Amino acid sequence: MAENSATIEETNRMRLKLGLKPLKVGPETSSTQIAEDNMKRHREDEAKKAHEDKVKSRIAKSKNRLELNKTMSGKGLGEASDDDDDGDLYKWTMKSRKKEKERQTAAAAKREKELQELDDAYQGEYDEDQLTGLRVGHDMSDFAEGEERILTLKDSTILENEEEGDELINIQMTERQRLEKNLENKKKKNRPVYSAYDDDEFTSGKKKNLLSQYDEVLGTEQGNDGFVIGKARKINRGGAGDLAGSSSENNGGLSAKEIMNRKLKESAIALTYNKTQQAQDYYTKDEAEITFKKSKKKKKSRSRKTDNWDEEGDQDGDAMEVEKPEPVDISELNFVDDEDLQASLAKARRLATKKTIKKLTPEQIAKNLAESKAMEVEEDFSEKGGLVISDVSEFVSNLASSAVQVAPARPTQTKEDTPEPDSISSPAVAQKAQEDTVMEDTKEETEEDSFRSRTRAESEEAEDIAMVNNESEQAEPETVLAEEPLVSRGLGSTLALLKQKGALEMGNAEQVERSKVQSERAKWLADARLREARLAKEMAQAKARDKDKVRDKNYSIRDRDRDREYENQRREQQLLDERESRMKNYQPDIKLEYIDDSGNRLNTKEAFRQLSHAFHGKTSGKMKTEKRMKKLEDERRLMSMSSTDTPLGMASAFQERQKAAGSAHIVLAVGNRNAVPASLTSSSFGGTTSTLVSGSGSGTMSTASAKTQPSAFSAPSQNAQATMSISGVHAPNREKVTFGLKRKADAAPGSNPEETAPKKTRN
Amino acid sequence: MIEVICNDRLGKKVRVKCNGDDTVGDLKKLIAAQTGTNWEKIVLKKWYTIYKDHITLDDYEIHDGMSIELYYN
Repeated sequence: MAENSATIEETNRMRLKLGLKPLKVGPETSSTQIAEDNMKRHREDEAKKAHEDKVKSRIAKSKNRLELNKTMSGKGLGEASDDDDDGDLYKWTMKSRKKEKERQTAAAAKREKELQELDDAYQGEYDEDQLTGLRVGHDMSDFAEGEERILTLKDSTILENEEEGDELINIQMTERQRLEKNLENKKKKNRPVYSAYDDDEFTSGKKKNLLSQYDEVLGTEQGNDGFVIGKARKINRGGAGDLAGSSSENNGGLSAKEIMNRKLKESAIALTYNKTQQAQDYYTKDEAEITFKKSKKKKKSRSRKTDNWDEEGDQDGDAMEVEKPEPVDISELNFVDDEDLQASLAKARRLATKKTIKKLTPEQIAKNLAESKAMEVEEDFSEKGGLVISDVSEFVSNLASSAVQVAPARPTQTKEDTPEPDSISSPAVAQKAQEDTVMEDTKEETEEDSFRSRTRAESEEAEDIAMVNNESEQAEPETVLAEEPLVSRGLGSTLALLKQKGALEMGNAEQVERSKVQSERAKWLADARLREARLAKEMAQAKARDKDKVRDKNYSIRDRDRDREYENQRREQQLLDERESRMKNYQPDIKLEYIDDSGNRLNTKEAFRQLSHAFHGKTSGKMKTEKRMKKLEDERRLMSMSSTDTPLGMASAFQERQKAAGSAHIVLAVGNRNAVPASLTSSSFGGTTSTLVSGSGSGTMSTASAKTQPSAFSAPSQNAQATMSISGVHAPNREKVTFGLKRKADAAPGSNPEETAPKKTRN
Repeated sequence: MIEVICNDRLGKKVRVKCNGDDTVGDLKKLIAAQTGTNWEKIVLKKWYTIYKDHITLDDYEIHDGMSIELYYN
């Protein structure tokens, strides 16, 4: 690999072209070299410095020595005596004393001079002006005119002094003030400390200390009642007014808060009043006038209010009203002014309407009914003389007539019907029977609730059936379509309707069995009660006998004990026997009923499914559930449907057409056409024209089809359902009519001879 | 003056004389002048460190006789 390298010259040329500075070819001045140089220089410097120091110290030393020598020159201690008077003590003493004196005078002179200087410095300047701005800690009124007081600077800490500046006080005066204050405090201590109103802060402007009643004034604690010297004097110089001026100035210096306090104090209002004052029963005339001042205006407004009788209820219930409105009595009102009259009239009217238009709840209706019924029953019992036609009497008479027909059909109508013959001839007897049942019901209410209701219902059923019978007998010649009994007419008609629709299955073998069992149970219960009563009676008799025996004197205690024991044994035995015999033909009345969440009655299979689902925590799938729901819905729809006609009113339409055409038949189709041509409306068609004869005679054919629809039909009485005979056919101007329960109709093939011609549809 | 060796291991190996206070950009220009490539295409690397143009060789501590990897982009 060829290593491409340029010489320094070439490189420098290149660098020149590129605008770079040329290569540094010279020997490299590395940082280490620089460092070394630096070090060297530094050492040299240090050496030089050391040398200089050495020289300097040498010079100083020599100087010192020179000076020392200078002081040492002259005579030494030993030489001194030699110098003066050759050890003359006296001379030396005199000399030293003189020296001393000289020194003292010099010091004194110096001192005096200093003092003089000081005095000059102060005294030269100190005068009145020096005092301006100094605070005096006393009120101006404390100083009597012409009196001389010595004021001194007040003791204060440095901080206080910084804050407030110097203050002048007179010691005697402060002492006196302190004394006064302490005395006052002592007086205060006797007063109760606590006051419920924490007013001090507002009245005095400063907060109280804790337990301030025990505080003693130690120093000169003064408020802001001092003044400042010379302040006022500068404003109005000279004259006697300067004192007052200064005090007023002082006033002006107060804080705004304090001024407010002072003002408030001036305009203070006492808030105390007699709190324990009670409302009194009796007032003097004046008091009464004060307390009850009735304004004319107010009354007017109230009367206007009563006009609006919607709000009246609210007003009455208003607990917040202080003055209770006097109850407006219409009779006592004097109709002087028009408004009052109007108000009272309105109220009267309102009351009247209230009475009549009272909202009747179902419970109230039921209650009213029950009351009226009870009353009427009583009337029936009490006054048997006159003929009274009422709801009850009608009901009873109907019952009697129905009993004739229905009684043989059911084996047990009442539970204790031993004396009752199969047919009751007179209405009176029937009535009596009814009463009997009612009375027995009241006797055995608790145990046999269900039974009673059943008997009641049955009797009412009977009545209604009778009614329906009567009606149908009357209407028989003309009705194909029987009217559905209206629910609003009563319980009987409701039952009839249910029966007609098949919602209530009557005369079921199972039901008959059940009612039999129930009646047996009732009988058993009654028997048991009777037996118990008898037993109790016997026991009571036995006890009485025992007592009699005890009274007998010949009867010893031992005999009594023995007898009693025997008696007890016998009684127990008897009781056991009794129980055994009682339970001999005991038959409990048990019926298990399963009801699902939506209140539908379930059969055992469905109940098991529900239980299983609950147990396993899973339910049937969507399709199955939907299917079941659909079934239920269908049933519900079936129930809600009219039982006499198709939902589209086909039968009645046919009837009308028949009436219009004046014929006993209707042409449904011609050939393979579904509709009859307009021209061929007459009855002259034969051959391919299939006809349907409908009318009063169709009852015979209906029996077969009725059986195919068990839920829609059940026929306890033969002629009641004779009118249910419409086998659905094509409407004249309709192509095809199909309804929900087509399946059911199809399930009974050949039951109807007309089935082959128009397709039979029914719902 | 230092001398660095730049090798692209594809046939070009140049020995470039430069100053320590030259930037990498200057070095690239010198290399470009010697090899005949555009200096902006040159990438100088040492392992995974790409030398940036505005930083001097001293700061990267590139000394005399060091070899630098030469790449192109």
